[in-house]
Amino acid sequence: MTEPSGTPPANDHAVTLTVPSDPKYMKLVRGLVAAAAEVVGFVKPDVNHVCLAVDEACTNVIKHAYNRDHGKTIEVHLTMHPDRLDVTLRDYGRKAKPGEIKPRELTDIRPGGLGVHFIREIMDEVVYDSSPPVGTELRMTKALPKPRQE
Amino acid sequence: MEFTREDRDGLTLVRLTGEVDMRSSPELRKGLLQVAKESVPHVAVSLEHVTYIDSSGIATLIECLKNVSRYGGKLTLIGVNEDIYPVFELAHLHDVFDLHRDVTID
Repeated sequence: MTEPSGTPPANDHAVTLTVPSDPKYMKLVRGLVAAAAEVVGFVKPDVNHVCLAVDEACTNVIKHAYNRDHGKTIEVHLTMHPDRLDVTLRDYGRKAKPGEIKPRELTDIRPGGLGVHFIREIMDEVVYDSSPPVGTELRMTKALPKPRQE
Repeated sequence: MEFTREDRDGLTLVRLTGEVDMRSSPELRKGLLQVAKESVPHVAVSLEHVTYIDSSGIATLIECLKNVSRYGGKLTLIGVNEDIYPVFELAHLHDVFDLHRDVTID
């Protein structure tokens, strides 16, 4: 039987959550991300780390793309592959200028700039796509650790 | 997040409970700024019952460390549990803070 168009392949399962750009909904995002990571097969501390990376990315959207306007929306797409978790965040706010999204120097002990560092440290692939007419699509991937050879 | 404060001789113990994130870290910042304003010699922050901390929480603790150091005080983080410690490692700050897994205060 042919799968209807739009249905993901049997090994790839996807969920989407759309939340207001309000910090009080980030707990909801973290809960879903943790559950999706566990479905893929991640265990602590990786589950916590992936939640942290997605949370930080949402925080950046709220602060920078939406300038702390809590009435906008953030779409969180999670695709659970057998060997990895793909996360896409879509916002419809101000686009970041090239060079604006950069981690702080870790030798510089000061508040701020840590979020981008966490995202890049935790996720295997991080792509900011500003090509949509409005807003930005951030695509991130975290691969399952390879099983140890006995 | 819950913030409670207990003052002893020269020591202020701040106990945090719950999640420290973008939503709750302003409350933490307000509380810790007040403690630093009073030039408390030793500030101990217990993270024993903290289940999550993000960059805004870490940034708030960095700010507190700087403020307390400025007047020659001491900041100790106690009860740094297995959910929280890796975040300090990711930030490369595990050697910057005085971190303790247990909750006793020296």
